[in-house]
Amino acid sequence: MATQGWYFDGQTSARHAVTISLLPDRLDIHGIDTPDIKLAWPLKQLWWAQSPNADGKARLALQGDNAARLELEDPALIAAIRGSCPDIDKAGKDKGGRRKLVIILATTFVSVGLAIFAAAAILPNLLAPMMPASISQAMGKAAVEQVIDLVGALEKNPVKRCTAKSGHAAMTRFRDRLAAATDYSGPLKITVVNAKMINALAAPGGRLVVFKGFIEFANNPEEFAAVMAHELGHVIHRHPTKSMIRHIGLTGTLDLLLAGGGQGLLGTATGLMLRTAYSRDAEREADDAALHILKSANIKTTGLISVFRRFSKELPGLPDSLKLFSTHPLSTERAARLSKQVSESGTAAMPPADWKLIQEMCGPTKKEPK
Amino acid sequence: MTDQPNAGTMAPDETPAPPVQHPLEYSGEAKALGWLVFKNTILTIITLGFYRFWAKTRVRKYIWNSQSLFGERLEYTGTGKELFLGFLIVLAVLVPLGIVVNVGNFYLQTTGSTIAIVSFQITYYILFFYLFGYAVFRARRYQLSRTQWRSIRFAQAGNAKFYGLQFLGLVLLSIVTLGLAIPYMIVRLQKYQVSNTHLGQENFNLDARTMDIFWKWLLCVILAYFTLGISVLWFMAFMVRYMASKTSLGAIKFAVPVKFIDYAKIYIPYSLLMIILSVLFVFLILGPTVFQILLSGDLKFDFPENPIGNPWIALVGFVGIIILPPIIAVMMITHRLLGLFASKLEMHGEIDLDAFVQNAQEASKRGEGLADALDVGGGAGIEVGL
Repeated sequence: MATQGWYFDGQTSARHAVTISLLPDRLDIHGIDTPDIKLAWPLKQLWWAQSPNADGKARLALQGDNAARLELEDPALIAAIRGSCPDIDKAGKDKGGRRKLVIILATTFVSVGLAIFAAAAILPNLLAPMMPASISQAMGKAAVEQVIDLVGALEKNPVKRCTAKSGHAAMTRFRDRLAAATDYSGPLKITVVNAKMINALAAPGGRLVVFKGFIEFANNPEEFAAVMAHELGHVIHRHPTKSMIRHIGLTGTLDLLLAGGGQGLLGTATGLMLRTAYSRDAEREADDAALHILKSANIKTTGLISVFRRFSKELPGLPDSLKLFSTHPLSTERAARLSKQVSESGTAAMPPADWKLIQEMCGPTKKEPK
Repeated sequence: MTDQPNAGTMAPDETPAPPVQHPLEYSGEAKALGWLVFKNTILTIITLGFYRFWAKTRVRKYIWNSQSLFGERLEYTGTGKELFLGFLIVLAVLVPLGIVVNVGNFYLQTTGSTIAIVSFQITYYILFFYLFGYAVFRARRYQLSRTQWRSIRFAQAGNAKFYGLQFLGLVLLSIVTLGLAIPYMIVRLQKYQVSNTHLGQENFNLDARTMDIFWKWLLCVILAYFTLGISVLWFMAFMVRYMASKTSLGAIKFAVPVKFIDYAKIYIPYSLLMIILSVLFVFLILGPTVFQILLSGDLKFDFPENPIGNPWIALVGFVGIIILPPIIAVMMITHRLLGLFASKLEMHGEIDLDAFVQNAQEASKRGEGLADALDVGGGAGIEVGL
């Protein structure tokens, strides 16, 4: 069959009227007014530079020549070409382009996976021990100040450090008892903060922050000691420094890879999931360390169980479906894991007088009886 | 079959061109574009963002293909693969740079002196502006080299590094002059871009002068605050008219007589809709909490500790921030601007449609990777070219 179409040679913008004949292995293209146009396009190398449009027009091109075009208008010819080259709707402008693309994509995904793995798993463990003490202490100081500001903003009340001298001395005695039970030799500084938040946390450079809310929450010195030993576990394992390095590395890597507009949120979610997965591992490590520290210091370990049980009862947790996004393992899970290993043996965490001093560090307590 | 107006252009011999012509026709459909952008967004999310190169390519193919110049559709010959490869090349540069910047910044924040921090940040911005200019130019070069009409390529000559330096210098000049140099910057950069734009071997030219736009620009800036930014639309219309009137391609002159009202009709409904949607969005997110407070009578406001942990907020946020805005933008802005531009574009002078000759210079091999990584998008098709 022979039909009329238009040919653009890729050299000039002239439009040549041509006749097109579909043969078993090729298209023959002959100029109507331009006899020097005599082309044979192999069917195997054809691709749609422009797939057939709603108006019925389509443009054909030859692989390897990205300029010359053959414009078709005859639906019968377009259908016949599609019939003769079943792959034409998938073909691109380069031959074998798809296979190359698959290889490139696979290589990219592997290297991206490696980059994320390096940023999340390798770099933090590698760099944290190399971090000079001066830097981790400066980092810790900045982090603690940031936390205090943040908590103050959350509670809509500027938050102050509690600095009562007698309480501070009691805290130091307690700290030294815990520290003596470990082989940790770095700095260890406990800051008590007058805020309602029921929490305690560890920052780089051996900094611990305890909120008054938690001191009020603790039923006895053993519960207090359990959480402090847990935070000390974080310090010993350098978790705060590692997580800071991980945060910087992952944010940078993911931002670049998943850059642009809405995907930013996706990057944040991925980063959050990865970071929290590591942080849950860290919590388990800290729990184990806490158990070990309390035992070595000859303190009753039952506080670990009772405090986590009460956390799970009194602080609403996330539903199971959202476990992935929780930075801490569920309190019930932690209590269950530890319950076999704790024992009543051991002494009190501190003399009652010291506990009273710590409780009153931020002024007289207003604890309601429960 | 929707297009009748151009049926006559298939006649093999052209009658002499009348002096004023409306050569551009836009046949895109808002629904098709919106649907395309929706599919692209979903695929981009599923692939953790990697589909974005192919997504961009599909949108461009659709837009280019929807514009006919003298009855012949424009063709976008770029591919997702090219953009992706460009991105990989850029990544090799940006990742180490990003690490240096991140670590350096972090180190200085915790230990450095104020002078060290400030000079580090200044260096960072200088580098950023240079790379930004460089990337914009490269993106434009890529797009033009992948734009084809009657088998003839558009092209962007000129030097991207020089453009980046110019951009940096002009930004610094604008800062030093408290913004007064901005009109000069606009004219200078536009001139460099347009005067280096080719169709085949034919060269575009832009004969713009700073003082022609300076006072109108100043008026626009002064009025922007009092008119809630609407004066910007007036200035935009003026700029398109002015720049088009100063553009030429050989003996051909251009005109795009758009008016303020044309832009107002496009941007004001869009802005109003976005404002309404934002209010609705905030209400949908805060609504359940307010509802809870009303039900329980407890005035304690529990802001969710982790917004992603709340499925309702996650869903509303997902649709409101990720899915809807690009669809609305392409349907209400891109689509309408393309239609407006096509309906207004005029060419003056004799045009021999057959006379454009291909430039032998090889089309730029790499994609606009740097632009992609720095997230500077380019405009669409021929409206960039002019």
